[in-house]
Amino acid sequence: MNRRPVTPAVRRRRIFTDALLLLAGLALLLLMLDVPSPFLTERQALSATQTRYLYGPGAVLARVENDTFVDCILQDGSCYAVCTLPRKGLFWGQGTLDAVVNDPSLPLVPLPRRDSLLVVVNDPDIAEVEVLYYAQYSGGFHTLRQTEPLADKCYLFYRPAGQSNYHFDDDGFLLRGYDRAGNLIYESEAPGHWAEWWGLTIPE
Amino acid sequence: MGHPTIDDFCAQVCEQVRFRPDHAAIRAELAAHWEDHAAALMERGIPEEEAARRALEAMGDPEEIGKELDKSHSPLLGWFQELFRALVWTALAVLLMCAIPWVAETVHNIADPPVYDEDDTVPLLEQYDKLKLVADYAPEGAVCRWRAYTFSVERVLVTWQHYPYADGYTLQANCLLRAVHPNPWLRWPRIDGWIQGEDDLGNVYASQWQQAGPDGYLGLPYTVFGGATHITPFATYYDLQIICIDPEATQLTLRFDRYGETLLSLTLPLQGGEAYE
Repeated sequence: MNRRPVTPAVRRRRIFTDALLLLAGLALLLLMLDVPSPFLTERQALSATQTRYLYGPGAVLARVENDTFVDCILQDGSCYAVCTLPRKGLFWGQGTLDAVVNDPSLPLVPLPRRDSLLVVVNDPDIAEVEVLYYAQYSGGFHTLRQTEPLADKCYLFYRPAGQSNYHFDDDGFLLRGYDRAGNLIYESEAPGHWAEWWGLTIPE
Repeated sequence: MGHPTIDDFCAQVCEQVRFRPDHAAIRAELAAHWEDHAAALMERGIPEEEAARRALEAMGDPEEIGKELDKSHSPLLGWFQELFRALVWTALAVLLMCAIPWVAETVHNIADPPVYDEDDTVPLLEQYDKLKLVADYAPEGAVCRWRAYTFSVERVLVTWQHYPYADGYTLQANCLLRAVHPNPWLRWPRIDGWIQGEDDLGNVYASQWQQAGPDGYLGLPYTVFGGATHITPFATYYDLQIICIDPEATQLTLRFDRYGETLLSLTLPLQGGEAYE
C-alpha cells in the first residue's frame, strides 16, 4: 500500500480528533454511570442547583465556607434560601436548597434545616437573636446567640459538634429577640412536644 | 520492483530519520518521486538505465534529505500520536461494547418508560377493568415551561374512590407529569412534595411540604401524594395522586408556588377527554 508520510500538521489534527473522541467517550461514560455532574466552579454548581429547585435567580447575600461545603444565603424577592454546595476535591457537586417566604408581620422568621437554622429578622429593634433548643441525647437545653447578622436581616446558626442527634427541622426550637439594652422583646412559641411529650420547663 | 540503487538511497535517507514507523512511507514517497522522474526522462528518448541514473542523481544528497525529513518527523510527536490513538480507540471499543446493554435499556425506557408508582397507580392499572372510571386521557395543551424545563401532563386517570375521611365517594386523580430537560445534569427538578392542587370550586389540595394543618381540606394535612418515579438523562417522570377531590368539581389545577409565586400551573378537566391509549 502506498502510504504518504504523515506530516506534523496531520499528526496534530489526529491528536485533536482523538481528544474530541475521548471527551465524547467520557461524556457517554458519565451518562451511563449516572454520575451527578461534577461542576468546575462554585458558580456553575450554584446555578445548576437553583435551576433544579426552580429558585431564583435572586442574589447571593452571603456565603459561609466550611471544610467540605459552602452555604450561600440567597434572596429572591420576599423569599430567602440557603443553598449548600458540596466540594469534592477540585470539583463541586450537586447542591441542596431550602427556602422560606418571609412574613414581615413576624419579628423573626426561621428556615430550619437539618444542621443549620437561618433566621430572618423583620423587627429593626432586635439586635441579638437567640435560639433555644432541646437535644434529648446531648445534654438537654442549649442556646445559640448572635449579635451580628451574616447579611442584611439574616442570621445563620450551625448546630454545634457533638449533637448530631438533634436536627433543627425535625426537633424544634424556640426563638428569642433582644434589643440593644438586652431586653427580651420577642419570643416565639415553644414546640408543643416539649411540654406534651417530655414535660419540659423552658429555661429563662 | 525496487532498483538496488534507489533502495540504497532510501536506506541512507531513513538512517537519518529517527521515527521508524514513518520509514516505509518515506521510502514509498522517494521511490515514487524517482520513478516519475525516470519515466519523464525516458519519454524524452533517454535509455532506461541512463534515465534511472540521472533521476537518482537529481534526488540530491540522501544524508541531507534525511536530516531535513528528521526535523519534520519528530519521534516525540510521532510516538505520542500513535500511542494516544491506540489508547483512545481501545478505550472507545471497550466502552462501546459495555454501552450496548445500556443503550438498549435506554431506548426501551424512552419507548416504554416504567413511569408509574408501584404502590399507587400500578395496582389501579392492574385492576383497570374493575375501576369506577370517570376519565382516562392524555390532556392536550397541559404544558408549562420554566427555564431549562418543559413540564407536561401525559396522562390523567380519574376514578371514584372511597376514603374514611370523606362521606361517600370522592374523586381521585392520578396524574403522570413529565419534565423534559435537554441538559442531563439538570435531571430530576426538585418539585417532589411541592405540587398543590386546586379545583374549580376553590378547594385546595395541599402538598406534603405545604401542609394545610388540621384546618385544611377535610381536616387532612395534605392530599397530594407521589413524586419522581422514573429519572432519565433527558426526562423525569412524576406519578402524582390527588385524593378526596370534591365530586362536584369539574376541573383541577396543579400548581407549584413554593416561593410565593406560581411558577408552574397545569389545568386539567376531571371529566371527558379522548381515551388514553
